[in-house]
Amino acid sequence: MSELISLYPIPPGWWLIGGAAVLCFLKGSWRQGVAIGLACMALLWGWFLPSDSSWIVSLNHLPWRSALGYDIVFMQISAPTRLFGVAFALLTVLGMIYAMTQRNRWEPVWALLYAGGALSVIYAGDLVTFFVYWEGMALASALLIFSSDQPRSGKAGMRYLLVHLLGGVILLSGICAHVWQMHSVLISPDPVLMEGNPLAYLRLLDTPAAVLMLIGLLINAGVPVLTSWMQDAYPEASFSGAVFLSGMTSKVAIFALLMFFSGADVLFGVGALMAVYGIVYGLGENDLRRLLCFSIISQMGLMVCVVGVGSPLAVNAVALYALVHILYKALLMMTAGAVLHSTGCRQLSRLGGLAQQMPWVAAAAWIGGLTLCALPLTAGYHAKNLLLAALQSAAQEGWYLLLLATSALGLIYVGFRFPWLVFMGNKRAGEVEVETAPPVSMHVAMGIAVALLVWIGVFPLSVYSLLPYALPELAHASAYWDMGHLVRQLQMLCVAAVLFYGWLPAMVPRAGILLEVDWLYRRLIPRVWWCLVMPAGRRLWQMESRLGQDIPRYLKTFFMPDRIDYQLEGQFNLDEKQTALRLAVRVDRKREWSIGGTLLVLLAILAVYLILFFWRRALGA
Amino acid sequence: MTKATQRALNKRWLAGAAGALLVLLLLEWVVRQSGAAGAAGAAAEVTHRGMSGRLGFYPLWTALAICVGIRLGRIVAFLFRRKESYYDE
Repeated sequence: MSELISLYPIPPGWWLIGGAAVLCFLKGSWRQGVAIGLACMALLWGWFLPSDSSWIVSLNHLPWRSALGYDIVFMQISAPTRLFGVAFALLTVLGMIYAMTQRNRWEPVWALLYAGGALSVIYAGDLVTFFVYWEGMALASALLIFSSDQPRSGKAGMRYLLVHLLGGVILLSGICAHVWQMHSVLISPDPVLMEGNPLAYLRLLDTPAAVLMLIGLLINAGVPVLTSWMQDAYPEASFSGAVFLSGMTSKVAIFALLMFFSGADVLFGVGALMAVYGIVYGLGENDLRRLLCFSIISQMGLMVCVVGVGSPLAVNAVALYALVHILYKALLMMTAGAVLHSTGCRQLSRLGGLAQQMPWVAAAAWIGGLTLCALPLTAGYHAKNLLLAALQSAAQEGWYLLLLATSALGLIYVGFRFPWLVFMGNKRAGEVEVETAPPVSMHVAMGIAVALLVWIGVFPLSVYSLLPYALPELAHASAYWDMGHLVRQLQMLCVAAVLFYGWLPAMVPRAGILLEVDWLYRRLIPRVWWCLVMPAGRRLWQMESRLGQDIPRYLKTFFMPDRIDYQLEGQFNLDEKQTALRLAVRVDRKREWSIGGTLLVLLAILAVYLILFFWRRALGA
Repeated sequence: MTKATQRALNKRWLAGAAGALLVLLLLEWVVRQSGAAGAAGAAAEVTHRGMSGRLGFYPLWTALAICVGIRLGRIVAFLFRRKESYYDE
């Protein structure tokens, strides 16, 4: 297969994008089967793709090269590409298996397009290709939200789309500024490299291009001050759509931050803000899936913080953590989706005691939660240790301690709280019953995710070959297993378990929602619009309509006095209130401006333009 | 399950967790005394800073972080909680 792939080195995402078109014409179980097959194909294609594969389309021979001027690199394998590619393809396979009972015929199409866009972004070797797939991914993910059966999905999807389009415009502005400055669209395959890397200067953040690109990427990463799109839109996706959404957009942003801003100091603060924000809000959140979204933000904060380190060890740590996070967050989203599918309820305050009816889902939720807790023998243990070690190796003790504290809090607010409140204890108020048992396909997808997480946890060296940088010190088991880490992590888990159990009554959230930054554009701006801007606009409109009547007549009287017979309606009375707004006399029109006359004026303008154009060109020559 | 059984289970759970914590604290003391954590070779030197570093007493720090975090979460919930139909009105 490697030989075949080396002959046609297309990005794995193209299988999914092309497959999405085929899926439009299929029905029933064929559609689900083909979707799973395509996802497996993308996984194998990415796995066997040779490390030196690339696909460059040269535009040098084209006559309009001066206009475009850059080569398009449809595919290159950067240092972290392989690990991210495997993670996205695995997520697609798991999501497609999980969604086998999804009856919406368009959701698999949008999901494949979305996954194809995400996979193609990470294989892009130039900024043009990167941006095209980036925007395509945003559009496909919005369509995925629109196709949901949740009642608020339409408005949430529209807000999601608008925020991402805004982020895209800002990112495009930054890319244009960068190209104008550096005359290059290439992305270096080695993000840590300084020499010969046209993007290396971005990490200094001393140019408008760098600032704009960083803002564009951070919007996609879900930085709280910029946007609240994640916890607004993801919970409104369907039970299966949220699985895809949980792992792609934000992780693609992490990949881009790794490639463009590895080593930028500002990311320490940004990451810490995300980590704290996600936890503080997650502690009071009542919605099951919004809680998981806050968890994504918090865990993303850990990764963003370590991107700021900029060393090969940090790149390895972030990439490994991204893989593990994609897997366990998908697992938690799958369990949440199974609960939603079976009970139709998302409120933690109404759920409880579901373990008896859904024992396998409960077990999967516990394993997902304990992986987030970095329990030894799960993948989270190694990934989080590597992440914190990378931070500490950069002598960032303050950020290290802060993130350690947020990790400790993460044990409680999601790791224990989510599975306990949903599956353990007594039924709260007896409101929610399991109406339909989760189908087998859901159990299969969750089982695969659990197996992968435990496999990586027990055999961490199995993913070593996928790490971006081959660091000899990570090639031994002793780098992953040592008594100090083990004792520290077990101590944290024990304390968290005791405190959680002691404060169990306080862990049940109250019904309601927590206001966030999106309150600005969901409540404040509409209120200001309807209460202040619209009344003022109506007033102005009334004034403008009078001006609109009067100005053309004034112009006609000025330019064509001989073609209009006008009659004055008496003398102007300057003392009247509205006379000041009138720029022209009121006339009775007797003749309209003819088409021929209009054409003549247009031809005259064009003739002037042509004369100026050729004159300028002659001067230039 | 009767309330008495529940109470007994709660006590067992808490006693078990506290016992495990004590064992782990003892283990930490042993690890620190023996220097085993830092002596795992060159590989561990890169990824390992935890036990042999300056910070110790992880149970204490963990408890402190959890208390502060939960207090912050309650303040945020108190300030910003609204009814679920807030945006639909």
